[in-house]
Amino acid sequence: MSEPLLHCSKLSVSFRTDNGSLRAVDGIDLSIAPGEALGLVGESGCGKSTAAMAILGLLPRSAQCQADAIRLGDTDLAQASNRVLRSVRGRRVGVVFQDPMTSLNPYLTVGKQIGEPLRIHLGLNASQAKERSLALMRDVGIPDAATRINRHPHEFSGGQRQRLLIAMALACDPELLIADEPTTALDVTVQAQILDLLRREQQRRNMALLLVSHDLGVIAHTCHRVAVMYAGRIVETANTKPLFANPQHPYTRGLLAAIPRLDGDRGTELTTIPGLPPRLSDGWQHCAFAPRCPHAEGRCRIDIPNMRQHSDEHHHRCILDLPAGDAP
Amino acid sequence: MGRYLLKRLIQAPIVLFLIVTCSFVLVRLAPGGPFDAERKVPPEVEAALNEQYHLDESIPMQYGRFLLDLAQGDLGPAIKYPGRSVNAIIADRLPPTLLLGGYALALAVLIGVTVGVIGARLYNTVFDHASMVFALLGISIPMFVVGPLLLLAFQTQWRLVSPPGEYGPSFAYLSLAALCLAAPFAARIARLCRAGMLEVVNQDFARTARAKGVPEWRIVTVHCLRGALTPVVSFLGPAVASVLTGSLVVESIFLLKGLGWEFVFSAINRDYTLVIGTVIVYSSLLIIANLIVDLCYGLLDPRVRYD
Amino acid sequence: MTETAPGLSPGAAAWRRLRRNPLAMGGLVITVVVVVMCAFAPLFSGHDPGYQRHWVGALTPGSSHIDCLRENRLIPGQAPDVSPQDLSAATTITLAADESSYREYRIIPDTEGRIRRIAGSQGELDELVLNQAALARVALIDGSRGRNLAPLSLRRGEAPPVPLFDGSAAVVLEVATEARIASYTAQLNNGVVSAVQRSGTALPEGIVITGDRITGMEADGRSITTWHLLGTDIEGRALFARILYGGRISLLVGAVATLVSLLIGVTYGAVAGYVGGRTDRVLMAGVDVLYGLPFMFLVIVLLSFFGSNILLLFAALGAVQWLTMARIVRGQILGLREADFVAAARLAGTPAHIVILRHLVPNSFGPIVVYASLTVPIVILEESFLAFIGLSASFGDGQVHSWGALVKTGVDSLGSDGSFAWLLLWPSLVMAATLIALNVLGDGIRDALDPKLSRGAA
Ligand SMILES: Nc1ncnc2c1ncn2[C@@H]1O[C@H](COP(=O)(O)OP(=O)(O)O)[C@@H](O)[C@H]1O
Ligand SMILES: [Mg+2]
Repeated sequence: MSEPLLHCSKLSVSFRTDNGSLRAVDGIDLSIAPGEALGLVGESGCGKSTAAMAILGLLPRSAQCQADAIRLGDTDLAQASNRVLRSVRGRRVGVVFQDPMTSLNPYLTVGKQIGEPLRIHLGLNASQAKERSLALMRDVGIPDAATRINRHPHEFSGGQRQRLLIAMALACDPELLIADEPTTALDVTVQAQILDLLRREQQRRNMALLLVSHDLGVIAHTCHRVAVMYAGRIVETANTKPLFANPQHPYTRGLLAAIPRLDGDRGTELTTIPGLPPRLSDGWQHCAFAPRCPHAEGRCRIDIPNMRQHSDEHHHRCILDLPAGDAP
Repeated sequence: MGRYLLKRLIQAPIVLFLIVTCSFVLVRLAPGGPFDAERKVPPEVEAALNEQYHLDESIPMQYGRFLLDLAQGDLGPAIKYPGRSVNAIIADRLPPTLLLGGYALALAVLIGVTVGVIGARLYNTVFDHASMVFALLGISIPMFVVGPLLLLAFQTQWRLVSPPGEYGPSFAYLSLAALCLAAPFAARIARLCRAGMLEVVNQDFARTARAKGVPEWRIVTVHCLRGALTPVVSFLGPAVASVLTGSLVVESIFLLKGLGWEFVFSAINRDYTLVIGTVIVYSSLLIIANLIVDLCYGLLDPRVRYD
Repeated sequence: MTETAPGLSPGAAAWRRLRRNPLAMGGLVITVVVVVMCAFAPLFSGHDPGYQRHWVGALTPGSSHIDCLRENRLIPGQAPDVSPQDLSAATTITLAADESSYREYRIIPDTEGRIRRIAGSQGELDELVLNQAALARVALIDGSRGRNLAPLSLRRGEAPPVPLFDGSAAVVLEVATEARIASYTAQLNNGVVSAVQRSGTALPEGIVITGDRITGMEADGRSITTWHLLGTDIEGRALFARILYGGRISLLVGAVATLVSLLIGVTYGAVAGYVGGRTDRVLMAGVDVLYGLPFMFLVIVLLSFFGSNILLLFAALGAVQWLTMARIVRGQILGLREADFVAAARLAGTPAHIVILRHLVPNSFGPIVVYASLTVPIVILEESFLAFIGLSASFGDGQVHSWGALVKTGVDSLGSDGSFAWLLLWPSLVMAATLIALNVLGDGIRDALDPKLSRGAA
């Protein structure tokens, strides 16, 4: 792997809540190479969004974030001042959020919103910004962009709003795009279009992508590499093909079994992972998946497993050696 | 938008008619007449007076006559001011009230929004807590307590302002009165604005702006202020009514002879025509203010549709 | 995030949240203290709030004076009638009475507050020397204020050495020409006066002395005085008692008018929300129109033309406040109407008013309580406002007034030098404290019932 564009080491986030502190992200390491697409996957509530937001310091006030380093190129975002963070956000790293209905400002025209990072970071004047915004709107596939640039978000459909958000995130040609469940709130047909758009723009701009999703199917189409998260930790990371072909962690296998397949037998039941996602508040003393794991043994409940190397770029956090055939 | 305005323009005369009728009925149903207080008036004189003001006719006749005059913009003769018409008195008294009320409203919005926005920005800091304590005091302490204390301090003790002379009140004096009138409204607006801002800055679109690298002050002013002002604007409608009511006491405390002062005087002295005339003027002011407030919604929030 | 502990009803959970809010609890405590003290006023102040003692005038907080009556009777064969205190257990009562004859002087100020003229019955004077303290008294022209002066001399063209004038009105000085203090002694037998003497001579008819003449009173050698926690007003009425009894009017109006607004608002809103459709649109359009009415002005007209009594006040102030209540309830019910349990009740053929009363209104309880609790201080403030312009109700033959009227009295008596400040200070303080407490409590209730809305929205 070449010199990574982004490298987080030992990133932890905890939330202060009424019922004590809650550790949503527990010492994860993440690396993304320039131009690489990394998928971060896991059940809802496992801390994916929290981890992604922590990179840019976009967590709510109730969150406390710790990391040995969050290196973006040669900037350490973990130590950076607010000023530096602001100059990175929207300029070097763009973000696309989950809910396009609420993530756009209802009070401002879409042209103003797309042009805003251009004006702030690149110092463009109003007409230059408008021109670039128009081009961006066309790039992301908004029909009739010239007239609609002065409209407000409520005059656009959900899919179009997500396109607008993407245009906004791409405005300053960032090195990294963080997309947090960009398709979850959309109709299935629109989902595929948005994923295509993301993949196309990622390749065209040779931009790195951190795609957060609870859906391995989404990741499979878009990403080179996958990191699987469970209860605030990364439990398996590998290139997409080997991960799908030969998953090592029982949790990953469970996720894979839960993907609906269009080509699959109609007869085979879609399996779901039994049990509830774990509670994060109390901090695990052993493998957090053990209570739900069909393979769990006594030694699984003794210690927190370390990352193990399976092959060159394939690591996982299970102390068992599962038989290969168990994969779906 | 056009339809909305039209609807409002149709509604306004209905409201006015309701008010006119209401106050007419109230005033005429009341026991006693306007000349009761002056027991010295001999019966012949009273009869003559009654005839002059048509008080001897039947109530429906009086009402009809009154509506007719009103349709021509004539509010009739003032009963307690011989030889003066209600129109003339109102023309005389309205400007000070408008000045005071407008000034107070402007002060209230300016102070309230500034304090509210800064309070939300500095959430949970000393400034925030202190401003909310002041807001609580502002809401709870009646202006007729604040007014005399302000006068005692600024006029009597420190001699910074002087009472209104021949040419009306000085600017400083008027500001003092407006401040007294504005205080409770500034307090409420500060609370509304702060709460609105706290809610808006935690919304998704504020996070989007932050993720774009927008500076914090710009997020507050450009992205969030309009949303935070929505509750403030919906408060402004009722606030105009309360400012007008409040000016009744502020005018009497600060010896500003405006419409409020005249209204209280005419109500207590049972000056039928003047009471009804002032109520009509106040209602019209209120209707206009509410219309402006409704239009402000549209300016603030592009999603608002008027139909 | 607020989690409801398992097994707690929403009401109990809200109460727990309220209890954890020290500000709201402070508000609750103050509210309860004020309400209890006003409701049980006679337990906290022995004074009659309406009893005028012109001869006493305005006394500063903590002052005491001889506790006599406007007319004091010691008549053989009757019980002594000289004090609000019960003196029937005494065996002797002695009274010192000032029987000097007085001469009146009008002291007329100029615009600068200096003495312009000293007019006596024998003509104008240049100088008036008063050397016997208790024997010169000030009275306003209308006779409403009495106050004794220390020894002093007044000279024409000079400012008086003590605050004498209040504004530009002339004052009347009553000066004793010949000082004569008489002493009366009454013997009591089983609570009944058996004999009255004046300096040793028996008075078989007994005596009647007005309060302003009495300079001393003892029962069995014990001086009969009384004490005023917050002093007295210009008419010599006990301020503390006036605040407590006046609070009854303010609080009663606040509570009852809020109830009236609840009654109208909940009924109206519930009908609009439940029936829905066209009825709802018409009813709510009515509310919109009424919002545009200057209600307080109509209330002022109503009260000034019909005279203010407390029932009118309840109705009028309740009518001002019901509109918002109607909107809130209607919104709630509109949302709840589609809920399963309502649909079930309707399908079961439950009559509409039962569905509304049993299911819809109780489930809208939170917002109703929140709004009602924040309405009480608003109504109290409005009532005080009306009282300030002289249009509120009074109790006790027009002698007991609500807080707004007490503040008004304080404002009116506030001299330009800040004298009589306690007459403004204490009623204002009590009223403000109560309103602050009610507001804080209302905020607390809102936060407790609806944690989403917290952070002190107005
Ligand atoms: N603002 C917050 N306050 C408290 N807990 C939070 C907050 N945001 C997220 N969490 C908790 O952190 C955990 C991870 O949340 P999140 O990162 O949103 O999960 P994901 O994106 O994987 O669905 C969840 O258990 C959630 O309850
Ligand atoms: Mg998420």
